[in-house]
Amino acid sequence: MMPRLKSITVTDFRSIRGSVSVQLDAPVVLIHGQNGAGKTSILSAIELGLTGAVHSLSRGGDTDYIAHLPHKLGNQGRVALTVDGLDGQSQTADLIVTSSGVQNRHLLGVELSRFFTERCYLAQSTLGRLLEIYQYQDQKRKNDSALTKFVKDLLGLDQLEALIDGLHSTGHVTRLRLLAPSYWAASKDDIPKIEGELFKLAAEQTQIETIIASSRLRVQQYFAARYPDNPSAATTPETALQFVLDGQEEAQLQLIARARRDLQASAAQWSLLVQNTQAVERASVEAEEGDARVALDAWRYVTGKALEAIHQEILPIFPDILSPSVGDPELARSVAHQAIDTELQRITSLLARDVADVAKLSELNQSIKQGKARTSVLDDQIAESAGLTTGLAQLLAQLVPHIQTEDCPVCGRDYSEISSSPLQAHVSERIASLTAQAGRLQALATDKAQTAGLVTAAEREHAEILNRKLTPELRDQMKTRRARFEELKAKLQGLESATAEGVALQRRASMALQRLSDFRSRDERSTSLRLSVGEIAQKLGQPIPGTAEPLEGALGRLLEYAEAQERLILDQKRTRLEVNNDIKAWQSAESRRTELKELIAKIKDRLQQLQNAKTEADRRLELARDLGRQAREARAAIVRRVFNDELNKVWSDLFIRLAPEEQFVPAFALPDKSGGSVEAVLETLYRSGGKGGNPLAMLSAGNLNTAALTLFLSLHLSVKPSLPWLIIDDPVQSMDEVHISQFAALLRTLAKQQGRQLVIAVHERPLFEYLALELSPAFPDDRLITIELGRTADDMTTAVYEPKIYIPDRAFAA
Amino acid sequence: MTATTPVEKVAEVLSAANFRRITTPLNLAGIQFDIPAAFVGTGTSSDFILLVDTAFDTEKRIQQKVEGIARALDSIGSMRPLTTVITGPRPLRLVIDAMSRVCRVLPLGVSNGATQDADIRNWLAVLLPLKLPEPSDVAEGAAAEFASAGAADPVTMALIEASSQGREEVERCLSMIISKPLDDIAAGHEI
Repeated sequence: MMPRLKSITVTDFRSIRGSVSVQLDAPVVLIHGQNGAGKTSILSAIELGLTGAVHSLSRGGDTDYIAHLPHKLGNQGRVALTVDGLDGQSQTADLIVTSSGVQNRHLLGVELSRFFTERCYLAQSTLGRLLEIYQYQDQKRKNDSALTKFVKDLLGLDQLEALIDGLHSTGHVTRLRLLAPSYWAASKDDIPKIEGELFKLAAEQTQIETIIASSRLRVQQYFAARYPDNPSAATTPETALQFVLDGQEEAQLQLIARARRDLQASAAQWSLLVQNTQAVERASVEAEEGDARVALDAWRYVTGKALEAIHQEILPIFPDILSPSVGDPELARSVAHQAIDTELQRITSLLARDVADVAKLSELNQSIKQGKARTSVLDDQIAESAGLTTGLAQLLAQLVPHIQTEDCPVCGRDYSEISSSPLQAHVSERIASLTAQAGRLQALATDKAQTAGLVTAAEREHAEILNRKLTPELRDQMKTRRARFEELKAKLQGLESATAEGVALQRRASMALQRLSDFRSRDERSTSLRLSVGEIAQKLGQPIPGTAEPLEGALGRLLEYAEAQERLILDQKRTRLEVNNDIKAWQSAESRRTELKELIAKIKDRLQQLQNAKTEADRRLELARDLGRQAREARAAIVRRVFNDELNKVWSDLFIRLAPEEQFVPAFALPDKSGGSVEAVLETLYRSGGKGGNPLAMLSAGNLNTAALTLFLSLHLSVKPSLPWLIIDDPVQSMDEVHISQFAALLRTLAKQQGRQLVIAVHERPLFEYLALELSPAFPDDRLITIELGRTADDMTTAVYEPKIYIPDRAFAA
Repeated sequence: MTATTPVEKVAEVLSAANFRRITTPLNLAGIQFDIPAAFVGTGTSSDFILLVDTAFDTEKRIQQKVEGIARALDSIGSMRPLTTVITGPRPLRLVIDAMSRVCRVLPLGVSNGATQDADIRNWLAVLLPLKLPEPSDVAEGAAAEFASAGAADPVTMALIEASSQGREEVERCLSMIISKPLDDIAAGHEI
């Protein structure tokens, strides 16, 4: 007995308000209702009753959908579904749905639940996505095509795909770089690095051991030679170091160096003294000094005295003048000569000007006299013209217009009586005469002023000359001095060569004296040199040179000793420094050895940890890799089972039924037998055979929809009908009338010939009626149930349920 | 096929599919309709199929006859789905649309000889029984089969569990599982 849906009661579930109870016990159940009336709610209630979930809601990614299953106005929904023929008996699921979950047991087990959601129930949302499948197909990224997603959804491959994709990176270690950076770092960097580090450290350890052995050997050899009675001195670097402290030789070296330097300086001084000390030369120097001194004294007595006398004479006149007996006599002489000469020139010019002034005075007296005489003449002339002023001329000019007749306008007398010329002419003449007079007067005044100025200038010069004129006493004194100075000048000139000789004598005497004193100081230095060499010998611990030993020999002896000593000490120092370095190398190598030991232990420990961890990580990786491989195999198996030639054949058959005119039929490119990812690639085939192109290019929009719908039906029909149910939610939304009528015929075939129980929801009234007619019972026991969903005034859901039974047709005799 | 006219060819196909030919002219509700051939389904099929040929009748005339037959069926309350198979040159779209309101229309049209038979079958396919290949067993649930298979190690279990929440979750889980041993060391033992 085939399983059959019998009845369902839905209460406050999704968009259904109140309680709706409908019978489903018919080959075909048609559900009609406006959008929102509850068609989809009934269908998803069937799904919930069967599988305990609503996959069409969870597929959208909404995992909280259960909270929204009860009607928004009721706090709990209820679904009671009865199915016949499950395990040979009638079963009923009574599910309580609250916002927190679903209570009670659904009807189907895992396998059948899967069958139902994959192959029996085509939800509206899934059908909606069928349309997208073609619109967004991207040929380049086959794995991600919408069709592939759809197929995966339909087959429940999502989880498997998630597993495979998620484990993709286990395929190759390089892919783990981003996913598990610490693992990547451990295997690619950390472990090799640590191993490399260990290797280097081991090498260093060997090197350190060598250093310790060799330096210890050298140190012990040194100590055996140097401190033979102290065998424990070189057991450790620390004790050894006590014996070779720095700076032991420095004081000694400094002492010797200083002594050597002093000796060298003494030798240099000595050679200098020896060079210049010649007894013969000394005697001649002394004689020369005596001679020079006598000659100088003689010169001083004659020339020096003469110069001094002159100096004394001119000193009152030139108080600043140099004395010849103090400094250079020639300089004193020439300065005195110069001073006398200058004074002589001054006196001479003074006296000459005085003579000129006398002559000038008499000249000036004459000029002044003449100027004064002229001034008085000019005064007289000015006085003469003084009455005739220019003012009168102007008055007369004003009067001229008033002279009309010969009668004088002033006195009234007739001018013609006096002269034959007219009065007016007479007045004009007079005016002209007066004007000329005025001009002359002006000139006279100017002349007088000039003359007076010249006289004044002459008088001023006169006074000036008078003023500077020498008094007779002074003039006489000047004359006397001029005579005396002329004499002194001559005398100084005469002394010129004698003075030069004096200068030479002076120089000679002083040089001789200088050389003599040099000799004296050398004698003193030689004595002190011998003393200091004695001191140095004492410091060096060498015999002090006696008077019998030549100083030069003693110096050589001491120098040789000091140098030998210095070499010896330096040699010791070098050896000690070498040993010191050896000890230090030994010491630092010892401490490094300890460090290395600890470090190596630590790193080995770390490496062990890392390797353990990596081994564990590798084990896990291997498990994950295995899992991925199993998942891929499982997927390949599933895909191979589902996408086979049978599926394509059924699909093609169904598609042709719905689109008889279409030249192409869609088909799956069958997956490679060897496995690999699901490549649900669609292609089209010519009906006559041969491949067409991408359905998107080859099929019209309506036929694409048809292709999608028939694909679903094919998936159902290509397997044994564990559940012979097809529940389709509003499948004809974008079909044209031709396709609808074909689809109706196909549904009829499925229901009546293939024995499938159909539950179809439609929302268009005419379509509902058309389908009701097309799917009406065709034979006895055939049956059609129509359910019309609606709402009451208070928004409660109503369901009008009507079973239609077979009525024998009267048109033709059967 | 041995028939020479398309009507007879269609008749052969339908007869082979257990449709019963009824005598013409038809007599429905007392009205006589003269059409080349008519069939009714047998068994579970209640189809009523008219065969017409545009080579012999005008389109207008065919339309009137089909509409008349549909009305006659209505008047006697017949529930039989009506199908008209049009052979010969395909009528105008307008005529087909008009007839589509009262019945299913299968306009076969005229195609070249090679594909003629196949075209006829394709058009009629919807009326013919569906032949399904021997159905295979249903594949077992993929993930379910998988989950039960290898749940030995907690690592595998965790990954399978994560796979229910998508690829990113699997990657996150994988990253965690692989990194953990090394991360643990890094956390406790920094050199």
